[in-house]
Amino acid sequence: MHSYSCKESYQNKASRLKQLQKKIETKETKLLFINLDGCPSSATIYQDFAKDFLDSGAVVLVSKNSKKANAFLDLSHPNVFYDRKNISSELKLANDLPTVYQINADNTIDSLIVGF
Amino acid sequence: MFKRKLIIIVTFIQSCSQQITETDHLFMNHFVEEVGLVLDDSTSNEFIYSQYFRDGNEEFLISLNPITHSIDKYSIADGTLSKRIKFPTEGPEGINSVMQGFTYASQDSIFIFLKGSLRGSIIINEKGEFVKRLNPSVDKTAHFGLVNHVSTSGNPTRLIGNRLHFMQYPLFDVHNPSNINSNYPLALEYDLQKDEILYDSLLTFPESYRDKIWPVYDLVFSREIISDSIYIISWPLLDSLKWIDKKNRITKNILAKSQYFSGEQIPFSIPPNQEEENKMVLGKFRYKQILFDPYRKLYYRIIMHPLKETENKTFIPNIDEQKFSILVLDENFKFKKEVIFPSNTYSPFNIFIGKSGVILMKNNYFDEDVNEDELVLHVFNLEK
Repeated sequence: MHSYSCKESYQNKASRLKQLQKKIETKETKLLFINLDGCPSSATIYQDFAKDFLDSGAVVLVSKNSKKANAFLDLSHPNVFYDRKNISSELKLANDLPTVYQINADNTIDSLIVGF
Repeated sequence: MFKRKLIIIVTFIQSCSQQITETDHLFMNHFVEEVGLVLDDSTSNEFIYSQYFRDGNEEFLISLNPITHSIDKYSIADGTLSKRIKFPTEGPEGINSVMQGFTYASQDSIFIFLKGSLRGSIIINEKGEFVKRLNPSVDKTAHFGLVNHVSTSGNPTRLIGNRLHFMQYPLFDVHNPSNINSNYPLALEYDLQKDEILYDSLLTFPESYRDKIWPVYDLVFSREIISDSIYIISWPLLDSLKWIDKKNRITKNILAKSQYFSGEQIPFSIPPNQEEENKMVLGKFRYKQILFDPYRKLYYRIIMHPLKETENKTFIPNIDEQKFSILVLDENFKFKKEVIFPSNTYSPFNIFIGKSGVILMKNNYFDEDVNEDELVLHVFNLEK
């Protein structure tokens, strides 16, 4: 597993994450973004990781295809959010690889790009 | 006087827009028919790995369905799912890792490939029965590292006789200019009887690419295999096609140039970042797939047209925003026509040839009207 973490205090990113939290109506502060329409392998490689992640936070699935998204994770799960309109990418939160964000109490953001 | 000026202005505006509109709609002059494939709840309309197959008089569009773990055969005549061939994903006969493409060679030989590897890939038959697991040995006289097999719609792995013909993506640093050389073999053959992989030394990076830095997307070619010896290559940056006769070791350049663009491209002077790569490939024209139409004896070369705005855009999915044209050449590679197809409408990746013409999929990423329960195919006859 290849990953890196960095502490970011950019107001910008925090405000974009807050904006997204509001849109998807969640209070979860740990969010995983997965773009299923980037690499075709993502739908297989990160499935178990995403399922496990639901124990600790929310998963935002970016895909134009609801059948593919639903096969990846149960879209009726309360902590799974389906982003068909790609709002996450417009807010520059979703990347080619899955990305985890932690919104801290002091409004700083920890981010982690996940790659297997 | 004012009225006349207005008429002149209106006429001018009309003539400008007419030129664009006419070009954009001429493709419909070649339209033959629409076929709708009926998709169930477990079938995505993306059809990333798909293939055309003709069995006697019947035509099929075949797709690898990663949700149901099956090879799905759709009848092009009526759009129905005529067969779903399930394959095992567990146990000694299963394929339990990420899949990357398939080749439907016949009812007895359906190859399902693992990502980046021939070893471990399996062959099943149309009943879904396990036939064989591939375990090839590599030519030990050559030292090119791991064989990174890739099968895509633009460069599918094909079975001819007892040999699988396929390409590989390089695993080295593609932004190191010295790696873009004349040594690295891009095409390989797998002899199924001898269980041995052989390198094809005739297909390497073209001369004008060598010792330079290019976007990674420009290092991916399309190949049309005409016979066990002859094949044609389309490189994204070359106005010419490469015609290769392997048995006689002859390579020729055949001009197959778009009438809208020129092939002059400037390499990067230092390794680019992802944003710079995306900007270059989306902002300039690129040649893509080469196809041979055996029914009409024509060649088709796909050409992606540049986007005006490339800011914050990435190759995938924004390639779907590009217009593309199909350059039509006769069997002697003489120019016949170039037909422009609109942006945001068809998939630029999955283009097939059927009895009635060129088959395009209406599953473009940016088409908001796409119905997920149906895959619409549009067929065009570019001969007339």
